[in-house]
Amino acid sequence: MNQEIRVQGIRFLILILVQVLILHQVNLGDEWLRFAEILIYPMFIMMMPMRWPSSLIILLAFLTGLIVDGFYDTPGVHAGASTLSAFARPLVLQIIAPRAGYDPKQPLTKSMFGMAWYASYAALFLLVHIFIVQLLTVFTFYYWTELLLRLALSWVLSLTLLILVDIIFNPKS
Amino acid sequence: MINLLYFLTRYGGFLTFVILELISVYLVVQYNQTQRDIYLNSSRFYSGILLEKTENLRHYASMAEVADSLASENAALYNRLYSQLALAPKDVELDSLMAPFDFIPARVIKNSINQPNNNLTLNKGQEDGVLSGMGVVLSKGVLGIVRNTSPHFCRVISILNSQTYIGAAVRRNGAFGMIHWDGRDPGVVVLEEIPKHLEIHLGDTIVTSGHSSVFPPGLEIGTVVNYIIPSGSNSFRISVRLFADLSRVNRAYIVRNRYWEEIRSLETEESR
Repeated sequence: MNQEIRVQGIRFLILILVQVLILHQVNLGDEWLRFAEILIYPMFIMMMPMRWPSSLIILLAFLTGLIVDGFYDTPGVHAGASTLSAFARPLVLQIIAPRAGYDPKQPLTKSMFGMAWYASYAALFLLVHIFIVQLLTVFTFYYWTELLLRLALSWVLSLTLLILVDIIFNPKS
Repeated sequence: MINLLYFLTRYGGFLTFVILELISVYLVVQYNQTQRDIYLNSSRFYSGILLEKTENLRHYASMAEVADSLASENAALYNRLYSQLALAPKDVELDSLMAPFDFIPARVIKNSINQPNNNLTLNKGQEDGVLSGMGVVLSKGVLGIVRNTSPHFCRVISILNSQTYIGAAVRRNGAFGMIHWDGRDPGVVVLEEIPKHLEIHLGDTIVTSGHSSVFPPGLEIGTVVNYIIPSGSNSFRISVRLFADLSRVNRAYIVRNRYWEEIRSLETEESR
């Protein structure tokens, strides 16, 4: 258990630091690409162990989002998105559950059921998360084209990053 | 107790989710300017519709009173119109004599007078040509300045608001200063910045100075009921009792200056 908490803690630190120190500075230009927001910290929420109670996961997700908000100067936006995506996590996992079901002791990486499973998990999870982030940022459905553009750009870039990270740091397959 | 524990383990996640999500949305609306504006404007849109409906109902009750005030207003307007026609020389075009103002009649659908900063909602908006920054007047007095508009409604900063400063003058000698509200009596405002070497009498009529494109000059505001010279100050502090009872306002006129855009662009050009 201690080992598990330590792994989560280190993962949390690294992901948050990468998010606020590196990805926050990334500027993709002045054209429409500026709408893209590359997010890596949702990976922390995605990879919390399945055995943990859902209220703990939601609370940790909320705090994570709050910290990111602190650096992004957008109080509530990332906190709200993290809370909702943490709440939706069991549902997402259920949708893409393999026929054999989950082994709660296994970490939620591609080592569990392979690359395709991990990619679809990340894709669905990020879709929920980024949709809420952009919705809370734009805060209206009126400019839905801008909302969709923001969603699509951020989703594609973040998903690519999450898959790359998993390939690089969990190479055994 | 067992039931409560069961409930928490079964629905604890959902409960945590609802509470934290509400906190997040509150933070978003409270601390992000854009989202806050969107929230305020759209809630104003819906509450505006509701308020207008209830005001419509309430309106029937005070119909007789409204008719009376309209009649006396009409009479005053006729008087002014005819005296102007009589005064105008025959060879001068009447149009050039008239001030560049016209008036949009509006109804007050929400009003407050007992807060330190009061605001009103009127039932005219962008589609009627109302822009933020326009003045709002009563048949006798000044009501405030438009702050915010939606398609069918506008928000007005009342004269009874610490943010409002309105240019005013003493009609007898033309001495001018600024009117604002000290937050005490909703019937009394304070006129400041009139230098102390000028003469002020109790009962002097205070009018709008017209030193801006917002209000037409010469509009009656109130009478002097008291004045002092604060120690160490070079100017009067004059208490002015308003002619209009702002707790009972029902109809107001939004002042539109025909040269509004031209004056605005000229002034912003200068300050650049």
